[in-house]
Amino acid sequence: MSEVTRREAWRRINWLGLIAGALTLALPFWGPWWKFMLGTEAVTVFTSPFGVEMRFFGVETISSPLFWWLCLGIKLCFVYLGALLLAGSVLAVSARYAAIGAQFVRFCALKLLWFVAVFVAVLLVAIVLVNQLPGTLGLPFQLQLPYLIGRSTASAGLDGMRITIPVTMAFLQPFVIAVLAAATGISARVYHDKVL
Amino acid sequence: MDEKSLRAALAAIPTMLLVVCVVAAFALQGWDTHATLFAESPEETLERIIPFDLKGGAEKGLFEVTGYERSEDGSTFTLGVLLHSPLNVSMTVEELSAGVLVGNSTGTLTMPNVVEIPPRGSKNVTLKGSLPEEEAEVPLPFVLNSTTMRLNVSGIVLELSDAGPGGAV
Repeated sequence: MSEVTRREAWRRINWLGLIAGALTLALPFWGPWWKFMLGTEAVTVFTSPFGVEMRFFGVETISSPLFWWLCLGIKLCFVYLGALLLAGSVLAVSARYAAIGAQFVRFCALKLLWFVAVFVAVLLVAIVLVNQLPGTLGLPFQLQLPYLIGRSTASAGLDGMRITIPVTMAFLQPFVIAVLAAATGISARVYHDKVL
Repeated sequence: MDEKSLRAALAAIPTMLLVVCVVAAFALQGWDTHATLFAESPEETLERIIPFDLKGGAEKGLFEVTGYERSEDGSTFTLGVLLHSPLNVSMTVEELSAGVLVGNSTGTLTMPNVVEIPPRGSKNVTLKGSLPEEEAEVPLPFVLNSTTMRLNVSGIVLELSDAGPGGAV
């Protein structure tokens, strides 16, 4: 391969796709995206599309084989998407397989965005439902959980007893990486369609 | 392979992966739906995660008076209390105060320090307070009333009023 051809090959690689692919491959192993805490460690929920880790006073609560296998399935899907993105980004170099590569990139690029959007939407719906619950069931207290990020306090009183529960919610670093992967994925698709 | 077939194949693989995982979950549990959905019964889960004994064990009450003492000049009153924790996790007693009725006056006894009680354990604490001077010579017994307690269990704060045994001591 001549110097010019080699330079041309490097130029044809979809670098944004490579970054998005690598991030997507790594995401399932990066840890939870979002945390929810009642008190300091009374109830802790760490979640991502790859699993939910719920602890009640330090004791793991969810133990469902089906759930575990479904989470494994989603992890494998992410690995598949990451691998396709990587392959599609590199295949742009080959004149013969460039069209297939473009298909791979087109197929994967928006999926990441959908995963992130659906994850956030599910959390939002869950929080709205929980906030509406006391009013709907006629319970003698109000809940004002923060929406996705923040701190608040839930309290209720009954017959000489008052309970105050600090609520904390926060996105964690892997979520930022997921958003970054989604954004890079979209950029990779635009780059692939317009430039390559 | 044309574009349409390739797109269909790409989309089919994640679906297949998920289906294979679901099938594997059922197959490994001998096609038992209940065992596949839950690794243990809801009762077992509840027993494991609830931080207190569901079959009782809280019959002791949160605290009991173990003794009392009045200073020689009668101005200071000390009450010995044994605090019990019915929980399987450690809890902190942030505040404990009790009103004592001696004669016609009321004094308030407070706990000087925050106390941590180990899981299902007990701890002796001393409540101290001053009595009004005019009641310094009034003989005991006294009446314990208006007990308030603030507990902190893993960040959850529980405030209890009149949690104590009450009555004449």
